[in-house]
Amino acid sequence: MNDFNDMVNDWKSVATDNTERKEVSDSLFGKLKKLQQKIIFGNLLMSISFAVVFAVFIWLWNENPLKERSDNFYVGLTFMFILLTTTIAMMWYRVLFWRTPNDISENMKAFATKMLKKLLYFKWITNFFMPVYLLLLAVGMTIYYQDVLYEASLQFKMIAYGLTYVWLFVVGFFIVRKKQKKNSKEIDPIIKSLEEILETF
Amino acid sequence: MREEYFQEIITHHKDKIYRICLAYLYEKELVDDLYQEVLINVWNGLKKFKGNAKLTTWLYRVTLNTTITFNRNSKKHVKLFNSELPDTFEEAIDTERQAQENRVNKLMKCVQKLKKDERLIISLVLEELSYKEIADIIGIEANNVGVRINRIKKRLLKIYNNE
Repeated sequence: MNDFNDMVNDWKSVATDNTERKEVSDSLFGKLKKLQQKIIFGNLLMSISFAVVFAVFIWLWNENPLKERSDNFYVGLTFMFILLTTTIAMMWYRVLFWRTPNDISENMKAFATKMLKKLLYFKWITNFFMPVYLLLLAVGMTIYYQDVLYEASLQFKMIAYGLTYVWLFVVGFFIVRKKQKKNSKEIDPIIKSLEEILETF
Repeated sequence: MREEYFQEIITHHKDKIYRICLAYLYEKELVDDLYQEVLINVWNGLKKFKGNAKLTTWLYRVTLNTTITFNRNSKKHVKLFNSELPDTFEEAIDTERQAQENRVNKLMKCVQKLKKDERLIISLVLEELSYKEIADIIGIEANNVGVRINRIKKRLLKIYNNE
């Protein structure tokens, strides 16, 4: 039979000689910092490309005053405009969200709760928001094509629809899959661990 | 200045940090990686440390928070201790030091059988922190800590004595 005091004595006999601090670390915090920079850079690129797309939308709209085209034309453009605006807002919100300080000296419960929220939001973007965005973009493009390809030949329609869907779904699928695989290796174990710890609090 | 302060902290508290890492993971390479991450976070956190909290409380919080966000799956797994000691080795143990090493191995193995949150709490108990300090580090009500700690202690003792 062992007494708890004996355990304390044994516990305290464990020591380390290692006092060296290595500069290189792939800790979660290091990754978050890198990720933050990547997100800002990605958002800037996205904002520039969306600005070009918006300019094209405005140009298309002005070139085709109301009622000169079918409703699909205006509905399609408006739909995509709202979708892209929402997306860019979400992406910049993500930057603000990530920028909230990671105070590692908070109490464990508060820290774990905040980290879990951040990581789950990160996963939500990949697992839910990205596929839904791609799907809705395909819907917007389809509505728009209903008008602009109205008089086109069947062959041309097939090529236009085919290329659009292939680009959206195949490229989108691969990007999402790649991110999901990365998440399952880097994020999911931490989420699981945090959930496990918070479960009893 | 920060370097000196850091060295001072580590000199005095490195063993505490290491023990918590060890109790949580139990695998040599992982423990070393985690220990390194804690040191880096201590170093980075020192920039913001204003001394509002007690240093040891701050240090334990950094250690625990680094521990719970450590991704063990991205690292190699190498056992620090043999799960089963060979008979010949067991027979050869005759010194007090070796006996203590064995007891430590056994203790760490038993701690591993607890849940993650229990491992962390029992580490703080084994460090002989007060209930109030533990509650402050973990972020739970001080009056809930006692009940919980007693439950974990009983569980650990039961595992240890059945091992």
